Amino acid sequence: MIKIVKSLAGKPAELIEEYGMSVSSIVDAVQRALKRKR
Amino acid sequence: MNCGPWAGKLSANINEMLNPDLKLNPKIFDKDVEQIPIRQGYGEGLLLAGEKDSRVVALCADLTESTKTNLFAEKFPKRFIEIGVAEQNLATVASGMAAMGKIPFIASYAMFSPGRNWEQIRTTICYNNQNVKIAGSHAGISVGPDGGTHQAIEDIAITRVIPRLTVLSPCDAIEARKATLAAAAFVGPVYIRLAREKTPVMTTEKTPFQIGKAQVFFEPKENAQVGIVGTGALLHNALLAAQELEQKGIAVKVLNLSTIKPIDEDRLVLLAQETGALVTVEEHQIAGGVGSAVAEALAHLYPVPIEFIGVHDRFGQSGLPAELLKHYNMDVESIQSAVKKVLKRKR
Repeated sequence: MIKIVKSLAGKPAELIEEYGMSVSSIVDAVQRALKRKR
Repeated sequence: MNCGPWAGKLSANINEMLNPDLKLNPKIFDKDVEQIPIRQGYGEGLLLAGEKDSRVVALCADLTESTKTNLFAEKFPKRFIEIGVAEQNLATVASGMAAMGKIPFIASYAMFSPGRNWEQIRTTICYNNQNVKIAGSHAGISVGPDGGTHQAIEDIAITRVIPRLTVLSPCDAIEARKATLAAAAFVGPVYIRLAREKTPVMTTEKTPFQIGKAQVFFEPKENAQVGIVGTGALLHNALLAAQELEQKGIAVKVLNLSTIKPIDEDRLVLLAQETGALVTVEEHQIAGGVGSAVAEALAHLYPVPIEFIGVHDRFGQSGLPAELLKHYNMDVESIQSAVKKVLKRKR
């Protein structure tokens, strides 16, 4: 039998959060990039 | 190469710059270097894998001889399935066999697998994490006269984007044989990129191979000013370019990236730190290929200027392999120009 991999079956906002694409994740990324500026 | 009366001396000195730990082909820079099609290495590796493990089965989509799957099919006819011109079935049947404990190797031209059956590879094989090995032959524009419809120059992009899929791109037939054996032993889906034409043999039986490990093939005695990251048969052009640049006083280190995914970040960072500037060399679209993968990794870890050798958003066309490599700026001269260009961009 082919195994079906279960997804989170979450709501869009939950998935955006889970995969690191939320507003707070973007803010964190901007802050990290700022620190790396030469 | 024409080195005149200095040919012997130069050759000896240049060969000293080959990584001794890798036991590379000492004739690597010679005009009469042995040439074997990379796909031949796949066929031999598949046969050996079949002898080692009875779970190995092979499936093909009407290209048994072209993909060298015939070597396996002749030895193990009961473990070989001719699917016919039905690449989507090729992927789904293999996925089902993997679910039942087999280790299926599927082969076709890269344009058709993973090209035509990309969705089946993504969903039926990789989403379900099935232990299927996908061999895509005739990759790159050096397929030659078959023309743009049969020259897969997008396959790296469409495979490396799929989660769980390991992507291998051996530089010669010997490495392809080892990559095929390594893929058989590895648990999980693997894509192996192969080429049609006879190409120079750069490695030897003694050269180590490990999935996930990039290897420095050429290292100048002085500090390298530029690093070249090459993959597949075009690595030979990168080595020839490095050799000629060395004679012109530009020290270049050459890395063989035989595993595109997972990419060897540690080795790439080291090369970027040592040289401060890179050139990537691949017979593939610039968008989404090895250059993109290198740039993605280094943007996070250690950004340096990069020049990209590959196809710049164009389709292939019919021609002789050497003519096409020159036309699409992937010849030795173009690589040298890219090295000089990136040198000027160094901070």
